[in-house]
Amino acid sequence: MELLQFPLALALYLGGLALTALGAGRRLRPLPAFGGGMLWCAGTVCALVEGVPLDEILAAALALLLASTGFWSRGKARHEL
Amino acid sequence: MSFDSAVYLAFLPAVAAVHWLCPAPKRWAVLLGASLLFYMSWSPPLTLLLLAVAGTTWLAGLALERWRRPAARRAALGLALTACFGLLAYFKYFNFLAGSLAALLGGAWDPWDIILPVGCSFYTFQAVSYAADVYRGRLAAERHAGYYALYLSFFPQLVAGPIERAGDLLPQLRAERRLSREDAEMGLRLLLSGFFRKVVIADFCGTFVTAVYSAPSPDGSAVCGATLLFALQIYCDFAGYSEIAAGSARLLGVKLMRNFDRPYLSQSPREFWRRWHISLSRWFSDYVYLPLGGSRRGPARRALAVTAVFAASGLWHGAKWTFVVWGLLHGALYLAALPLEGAGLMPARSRAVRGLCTALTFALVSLSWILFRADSLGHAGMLLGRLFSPWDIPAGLACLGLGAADVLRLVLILALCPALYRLGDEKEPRPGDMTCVFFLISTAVAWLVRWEQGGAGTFIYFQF
Repeated sequence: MELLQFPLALALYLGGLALTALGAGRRLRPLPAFGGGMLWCAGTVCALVEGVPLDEILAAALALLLASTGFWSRGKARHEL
Repeated sequence: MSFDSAVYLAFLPAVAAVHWLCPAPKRWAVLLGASLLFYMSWSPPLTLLLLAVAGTTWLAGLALERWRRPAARRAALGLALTACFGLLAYFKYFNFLAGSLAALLGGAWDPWDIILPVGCSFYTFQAVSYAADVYRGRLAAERHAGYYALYLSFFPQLVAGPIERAGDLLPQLRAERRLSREDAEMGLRLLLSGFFRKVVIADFCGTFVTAVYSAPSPDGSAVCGATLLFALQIYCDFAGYSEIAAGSARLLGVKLMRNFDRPYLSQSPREFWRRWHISLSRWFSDYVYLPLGGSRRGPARRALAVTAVFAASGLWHGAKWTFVVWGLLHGALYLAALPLEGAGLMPARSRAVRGLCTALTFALVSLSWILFRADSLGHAGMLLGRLFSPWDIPAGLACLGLGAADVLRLVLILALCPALYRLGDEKEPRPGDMTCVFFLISTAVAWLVRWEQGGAGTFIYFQF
């Protein structure tokens, strides 16, 4: 995966993933989720500048989408952002 | 104009805007005009065929309601059925039947250059259901030609269903509708879910399936991978189309029927057909299975009715022997499961057994998709033979062409299935804003990926 060769973009994506997951936990926290989204945007800009293929950027988007669903929370306690 | 084209993204809001701005009594004309324009984007001359079917069956409906003599009513029904099935017989099955007959007689057949009208399998079935319901007295004939033409040609469901009943759709088209916040929200959710299924999942899986199905002798592991990916592709492609159709209609204040209900969670082939392409299953049940006697005339008659339904269903999907055999296979599986249900063994009570039944049903359905996707019976036989031969997994992975990013994407897609289901289900609360935004972003990026790689895949069911 070419994304692994660009630590800045990768770090921004991983940071975005962590913040979004934090925001989507059992207690609803919109600010971390919004911050996660911003980090994803920054990561995407870096990735596009570095020439990372679009399908890897798509994988990052899907990962943040999954994190935003709070899938690890069961039933009604799930908080989607 | 395909649903997943940029033109449609401009067409739908434009039609919706004109529709809602128009006075209620004239909205049918706006929708009819838009529907005919939509169909003409595929083929202007074949629009005349659609109008001819509409005109013939509309007149037949009026005659069925007015005429009292049984012979006259049967003649009117016969006219409607001849128009519809005659169209299918010529445009869809003529070359197939002629070629099969020639092969049987040891000769050869040079196929005629016949273009299959887009959506004819769907709108003819809608017309047949209308004529049959009026004949049986279940429905009053529609006297307004415009509303009837709109019922047949309503653009969200014209090309690939759902096959709507006149009793469900006509009252909605006639009603003075208002765009509620609930309809707008659900319409957008369905559109987003449908596009996500098509662009992010179905087209992605399709590239790997095509690679294996076009290889001269793929490894068994590649065939296994392609079989599972095709199961995902065809479900997301068709269910995605149905959701886009339902979402488009919802933005116009019309509720279309649900066409899929998590079919791969079925515990038996019988349950599968209650959850997969529901509108077609109900059509065959009401207009073929029950008139043949259904389950009321003993097990032998029931078996005959089931076999006829599934053979016809297979043939409906396409003019190839692979589809006929696929249909008959499903008929056999359906009949095989009946004694288990009769003995109370299905649905199973134990969770472990339910899981086993679901896995087994999924495996059988997936194997049957090989017949559906293969070019010929010989091709399907070759693939099945490779599947059950010793595997060379590295060679199989090379044939599939799955890279690390692709595997990651596949894992994420599978993990997103529950959230995707909630997005498109009216009974579930709306997903959060961030989730919806990321669904939208993912769909947009996947669209760009597809555009960068050189174009869109067509919807699979458009070919039927």
